[in-house]
Amino acid sequence: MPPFLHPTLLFIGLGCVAIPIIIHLLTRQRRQPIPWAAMRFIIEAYKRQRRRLTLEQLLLLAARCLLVALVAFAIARPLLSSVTAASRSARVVYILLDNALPSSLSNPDGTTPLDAHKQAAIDLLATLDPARGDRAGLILLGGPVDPAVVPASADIPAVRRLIEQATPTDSAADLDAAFSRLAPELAAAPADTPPVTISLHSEFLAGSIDTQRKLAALPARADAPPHTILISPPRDTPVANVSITGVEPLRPLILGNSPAGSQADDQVRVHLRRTGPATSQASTSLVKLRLAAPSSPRDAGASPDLASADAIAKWSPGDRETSVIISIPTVSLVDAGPSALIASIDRDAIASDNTFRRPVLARRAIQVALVTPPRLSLAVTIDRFEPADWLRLALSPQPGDSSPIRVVDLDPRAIAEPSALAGIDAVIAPRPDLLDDRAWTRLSEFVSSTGGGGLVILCTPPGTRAHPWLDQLENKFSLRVPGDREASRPAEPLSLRPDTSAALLALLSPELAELVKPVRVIERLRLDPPTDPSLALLTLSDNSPLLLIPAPAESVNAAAPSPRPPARGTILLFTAPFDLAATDLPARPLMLPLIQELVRQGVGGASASLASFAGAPVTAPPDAAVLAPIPSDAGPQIALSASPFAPRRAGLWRVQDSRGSALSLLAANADPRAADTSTTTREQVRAYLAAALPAGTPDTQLAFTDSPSPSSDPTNPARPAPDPRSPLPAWLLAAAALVGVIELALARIFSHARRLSPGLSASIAARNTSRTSARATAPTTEHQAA
Amino acid sequence: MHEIRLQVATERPSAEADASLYLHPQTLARLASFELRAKMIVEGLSSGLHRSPFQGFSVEFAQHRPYVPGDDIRHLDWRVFGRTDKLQIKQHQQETNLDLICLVDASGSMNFGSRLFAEASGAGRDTSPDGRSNWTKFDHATAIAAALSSIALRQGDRAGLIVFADTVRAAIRRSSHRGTWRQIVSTLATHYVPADNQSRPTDLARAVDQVVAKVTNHCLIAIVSDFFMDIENLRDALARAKHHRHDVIALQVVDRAELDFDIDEIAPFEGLEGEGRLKIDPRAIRDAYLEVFRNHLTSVEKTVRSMGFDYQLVNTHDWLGPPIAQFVARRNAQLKRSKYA
Repeated sequence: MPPFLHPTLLFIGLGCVAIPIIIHLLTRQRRQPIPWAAMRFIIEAYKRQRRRLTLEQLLLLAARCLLVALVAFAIARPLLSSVTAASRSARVVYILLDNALPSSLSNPDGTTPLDAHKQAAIDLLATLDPARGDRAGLILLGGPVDPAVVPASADIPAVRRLIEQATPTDSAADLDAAFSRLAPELAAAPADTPPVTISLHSEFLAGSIDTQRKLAALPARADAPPHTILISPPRDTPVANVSITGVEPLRPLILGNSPAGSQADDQVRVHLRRTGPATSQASTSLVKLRLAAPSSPRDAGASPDLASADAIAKWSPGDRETSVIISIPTVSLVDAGPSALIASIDRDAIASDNTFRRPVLARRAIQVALVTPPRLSLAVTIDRFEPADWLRLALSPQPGDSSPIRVVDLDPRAIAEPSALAGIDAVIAPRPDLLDDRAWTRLSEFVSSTGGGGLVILCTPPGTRAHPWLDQLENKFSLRVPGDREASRPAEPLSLRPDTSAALLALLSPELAELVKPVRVIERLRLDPPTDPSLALLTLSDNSPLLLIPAPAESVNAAAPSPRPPARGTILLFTAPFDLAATDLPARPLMLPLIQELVRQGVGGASASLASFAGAPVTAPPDAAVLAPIPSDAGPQIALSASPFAPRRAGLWRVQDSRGSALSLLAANADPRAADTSTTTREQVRAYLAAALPAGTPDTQLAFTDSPSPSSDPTNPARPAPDPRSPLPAWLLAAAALVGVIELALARIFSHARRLSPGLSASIAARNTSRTSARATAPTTEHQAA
Repeated sequence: MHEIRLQVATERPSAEADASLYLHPQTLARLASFELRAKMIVEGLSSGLHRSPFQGFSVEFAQHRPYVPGDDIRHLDWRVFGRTDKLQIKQHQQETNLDLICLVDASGSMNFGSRLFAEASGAGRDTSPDGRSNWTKFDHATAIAAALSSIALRQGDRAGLIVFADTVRAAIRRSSHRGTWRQIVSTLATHYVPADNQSRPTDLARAVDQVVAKVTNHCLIAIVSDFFMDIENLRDALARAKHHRHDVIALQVVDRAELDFDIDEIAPFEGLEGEGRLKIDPRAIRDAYLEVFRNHLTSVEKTVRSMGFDYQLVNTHDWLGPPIAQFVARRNAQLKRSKYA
């Protein structure tokens, strides 16, 4: 039964069909019979005419009933699409709605492409009829892909509600993942089910689809019509857009504590990218940078700015990318813990990519514990320097409170005390052989402590050949340190290789080649080079590491080394002792920047802050349960059900456990790939999507919704939905009028209200005249005749 | 279109019928000048104007009557013509007599009429003695039988009556007495048509069988009926009459409503001879009805004439005098031509 706008009127109208039937029955009521002598001739005439009379009556009755029914149908106003689709089978439509970052692009009229796509999808749903078995599925393409309704459901209103509730993400669209999710559903469908229509609603900007990426193939249907992909037309008007693609401070740790009256700045490089028609023009962009410290979870909200600065980025004609360096003042910096550098530009077509957040650690000073036995003599000459002395000198070349790195000596036997490492950011152990088991345990807890974990730098102790402490290191820190356990002296002093790929030494890399030249290593602990080259910070000429990050035990044999475990501090291991008998490194110019950089980068990198792009997976701390937005009124909290997770929206988030305690800070930014507003052509889109269809699929199965061919296909679900406000169906009224005219003609003909045929009339008249020729002149009655 | 006023007699009193209700004396006077001759050679009891196989009977003048076309000019009285310039026929007393037997159909179909009684009878009454307001075919048949009997009796012939339907209902023996005519009219008025609409159809063959079984001489049989019967039955009846060398005059009485069937009212039609009811739109079957009815009339006429008998269609809405006079005159003319031929 096709749907009607006024079903009640339809039923009433159909009830009126009984009116002519009732009238017909009423005419059969008893009347006074007419006595008739020549009945035999009436009966014979009736027998001759009976079939024709019955047919006439049935025709008249049918015409009258049809007339009433047509009027009833016209008044009820059927939804025409359903009428025309009365003979079709059930349809299955999967709506792939692009709600990625480009879908939030602001049109001049204030609307967004997502609004148009949602409306198109809702219009498409309106053509489906659950009563006929139609089903609809929904996949939101903003990464990570959200298979909102998969497999397809007959609850069309629920799908419509989900579409209406869809909001744009700050991630890129992942059509490949959508097709990967869809392919098993299509493959699992029985062969006798109708072909699936995939309706793809997207702007198809360069940020929406990656045409270089191969899509997952849809399954072929043997001996059955292939699936159809209906595509919304690509946007043909390019839009200018500028996005911030990165904010790079020198170090993840921003230190203050400059001497009074001095100007201490930390440089931050901000990267920008522009797309669209404005790339051929010269222009400028004002970049605002601020250092914000999120308030505690119990505070209401806003993140106070610790420092801020502006800069203007200049674009030359043809430039698509540029960067600007902004010096952020750190004179008055206070200890704020996990903070964020937030760069922003003026609002343009896409708003979400105009802000970029970078987590940093803002500290006025950092505390470094130097684990060394207490020295009795206060003054020591350089020829009697122990490793701790070299390290202390490198950490704090200018003794006093003005140094941002404050060194605290810590007895190895006191490490096990509960408060021994309170307030300590980094621990340097030049004599790990002096640490007992409790001390190792305490250091392990320090590295993996909640809130980020600290930096631990272990050095090979001098004066001993065997190094069993390496076993303690492996056991307590769950590390694998393959290699010799005894120090060895190579035949010739070893030099340092000038190359390194470690992020901790990124700032030193331009000058590292000059700094390593004079360094020679005479005795070292020969360890195997790490599988991951980035874990070897400094490498000797015999390819053994001088400074390395020990790899976790579980990833040693893994094919792909895993990154540093989450919420875990950094452990660095020097394979050569800081002793001039083993290496001249402590006396070389490399020593000071090396130790300073290791501490500053290590402490900053060991913070618990997380940085990611929208749509990219993030490994949350083990106890993480909730993402709370910063400020708290920026949006709803997000419950974390699995790890790793991928945020869909950009912003600052506080990672909390189930009790509301902050675990870390998460800075999510809009995916720079999705901010590309360059347009793509229909041919590119068609070729890109055709690769997903099985080989041999006709071209007609891949059509744009604004092309004439799909709408002419009766099975195309993208036909426009009927407008409930449309007037009465003209064709029904015309049909009713035609039937009315036919009924009048039939009634006129079948009423037999006509004169006799001329021949018969003349025959009867002649007969009567010949027999009663005197009638005209004779008196009417016998009496008159008399 | 006719205004249909149909009524079926439900009760008829047993009072003696008044012949003037059916046949006015003036009409009888007009018909009195006609002679009713037999087409065949009849075997009369005495000599008369009919050709007889018995020759040599004396002829005795009885009276004069005006000449009408078709009369044998041998009987013109030229002397009277010479004196008065009027053509008078000499009638003789001793001519051979004619036996006229009127067979009047009293079946159910004869109880139909669409004409007002007051309009048809001319007796100054709106209803018949039994209360009917319509003039039925039986009334008209009564008038015809009365007229023919009157003609026969006036010319000295014998007249008898048979009232029949599916069988003989009543009979008046042939007689030439003056009271015979009133007896005939009274019998017709007494033996009315049953009004229960369930009477059996006319069985003319059976009635003729019963008549010819009792008649030994050759007679002129006037059958007054609507002939709503099977043609085979009619053919059997006529064949038996012809076999017994009787002459037959078939007078078919029909109503104008039956001829025109110009009825617009959609109502059930009920047969008068047990055919039952049938609800039809008369306009829808009018053409077919008229065709069937016309074919039947034609069949009756052809059947009658094929036996060498005379046929006359009588409409109950017509005045009785002219058609009877014209019929009798035409018949006598034909007899005259055949006689001289």
